[in-house]
Amino acid sequence: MAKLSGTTLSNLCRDNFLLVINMANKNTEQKLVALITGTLKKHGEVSVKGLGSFSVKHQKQKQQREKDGRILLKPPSDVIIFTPEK
Amino acid sequence: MKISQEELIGILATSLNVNKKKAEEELSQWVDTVQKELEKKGRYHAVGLGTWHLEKGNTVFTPDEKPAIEVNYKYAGMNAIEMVPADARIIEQERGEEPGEIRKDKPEKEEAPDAGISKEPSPEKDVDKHKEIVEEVTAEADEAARGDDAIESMAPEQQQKKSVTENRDQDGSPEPDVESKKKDIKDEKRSTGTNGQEPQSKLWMLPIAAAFLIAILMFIHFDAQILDRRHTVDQTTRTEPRGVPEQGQIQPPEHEIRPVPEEDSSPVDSDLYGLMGPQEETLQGSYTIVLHSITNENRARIEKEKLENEGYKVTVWQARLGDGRLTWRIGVGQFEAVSHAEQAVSRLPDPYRHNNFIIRIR
Repeated sequence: MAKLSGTTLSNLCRDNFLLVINMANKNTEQKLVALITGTLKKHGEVSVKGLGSFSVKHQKQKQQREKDGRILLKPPSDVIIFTPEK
Repeated sequence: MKISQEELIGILATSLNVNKKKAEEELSQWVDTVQKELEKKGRYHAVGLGTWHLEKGNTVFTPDEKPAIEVNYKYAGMNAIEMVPADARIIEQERGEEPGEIRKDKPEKEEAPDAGISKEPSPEKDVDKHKEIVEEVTAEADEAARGDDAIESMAPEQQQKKSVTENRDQDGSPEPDVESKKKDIKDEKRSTGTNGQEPQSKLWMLPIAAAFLIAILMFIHFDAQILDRRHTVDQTTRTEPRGVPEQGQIQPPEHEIRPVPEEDSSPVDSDLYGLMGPQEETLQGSYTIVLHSITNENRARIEKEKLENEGYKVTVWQARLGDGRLTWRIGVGQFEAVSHAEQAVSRLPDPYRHNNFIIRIR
């Protein structure tokens, strides 16, 4: 069995620790994402301290002139809006 | 529905099965991770949510396709419609905007409002895009007509879109494709001022028409009743006989004539009532057939005796006419009901049969 040096061992521990942290973060992220998307589907608003707030905004149908001169009638839509925290 | 930071921590704690403090730490750790990644790499992607990236020093968020579609489920499947310049001009004028510049080399064609997409080939660069839009719309229209069988004929990309919408539909949300297309058509019709609301506007006329019909029927019904009453009143009165040769004018005074309700029509055989026979007593309230109206008392007595000799029940009384003159009325018969008196009239000889009136003895 090869002997691990102190540096290698500490790096390994650090990596494992980071991996664990990363996994925990990922789990938290998944839960958060599910929570945020679930709220947004119901056209709610979610505020995350340090990041910003997510909300849904309704956009009415509108005419849009393209560069080539065509006029398109964009349909109405509900879009996700992110407002970063100041 | 707004979820604050505290509520978010509470829900996160529940989902992670940890206490609130721990959940708060997890949340702040994740926020730190996002911020560090943004500073380091300039972007961070949260799977299932979206991507943050820095743009000119500002944090810009682009949601992923799936949550964007799920949030926009009401209008998912609706595509942009290319407008004919004439239609666009009408909309702009309605909104009070200045009409936009229109390419003069493009011929203006009048098309049906539901055919919002021009069939002419688009200019050079966007020919493919335009064709895609047309194909999508026609495919969706065909699908609406045929139903599920059209799915197989659709392009794979369209099938993917369809599968997304179907998955959503299974959750209970409404099918947007056909309804969204119908919405588009309706919007266009409203903008161009078509008669789409005629069927709805006619519905309110139905109760009004029904009320009108009922009013007419009621009027006819009551009118018939009034006519019936008038008919019975006419039967109880007799107009002035013309050309009575020997006696004076017999005028049924207005104040003595009363509308008499129709009573039992069957004649009653009794000694007191009837046309013929000795008159034992004058029955007040009974009906008699007046044959004479004479101002001279002696002449009245003579006529009375004449009729009694002929075998009639005779009643004589004095009455005041409308102009104040006193007159002697001579009536034959005593009847319980007007109908009995009318039947007896037919048994009278001429000229009495045609020169008489029925009155109540008072």
